[in-house]
Amino acid sequence: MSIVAHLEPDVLDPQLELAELTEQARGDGAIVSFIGLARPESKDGDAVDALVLDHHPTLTRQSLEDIAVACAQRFDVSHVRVVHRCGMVPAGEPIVFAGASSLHRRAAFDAVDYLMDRLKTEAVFWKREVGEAEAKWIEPTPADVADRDRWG
Amino acid sequence: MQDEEARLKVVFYGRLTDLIGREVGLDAADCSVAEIRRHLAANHPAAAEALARSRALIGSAVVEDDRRVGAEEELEFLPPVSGG
Repeated sequence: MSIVAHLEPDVLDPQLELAELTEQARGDGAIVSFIGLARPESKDGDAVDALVLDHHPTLTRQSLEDIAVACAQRFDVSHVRVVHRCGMVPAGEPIVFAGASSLHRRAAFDAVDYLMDRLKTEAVFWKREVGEAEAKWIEPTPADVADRDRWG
Repeated sequence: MQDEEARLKVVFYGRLTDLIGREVGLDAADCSVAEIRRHLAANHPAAAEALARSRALIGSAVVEDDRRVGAEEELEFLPPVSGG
């Protein structure tokens, strides 16, 4: 069992993260990975140049770790890996990598689904869209909260 | 409370950084969190609503509004998080 929860200020390389997870997952039967990208358009249709993620010096990393640990305890997974960007993320670039490995596929699928639902609502970030429209701070949508609440 | 005699450090996150800045220094020894909130809201009216919705933390732990803040402590105001 291993748990990686990393806050990345510069470059998130999903291929590298998947390669490391794959290396760790020897003996498992399944790896599921998710890559979240900074969208180039806001909900209102305005062009977005970048997402800026403000973070807290201790609580942000702690929130990533708490979510990853809860995931590892809840599902029958061997390895959990969460890497999340902070700072300025240009549109189209990776903002989060979430992955898990397990003996059988269902646990890994569920684990990554759970990771993302909790990260989207509870990770300690303050996000701002920068682009065509006036810079706008983003909060979780009711749909994000409903997704998270599926897990009880 | 005189902002010039910076002693108590107050740090802000998220939208509060746009409205107030990353941090301010206050001469606010032995004031309650509620008094500091009121002082900041009076000096930064545009931030009043966001301040009211923000949690106050000292040493990364949430504190209630009746908590008195020592001169050498660092107070943080965290608006509701955006999530990742």
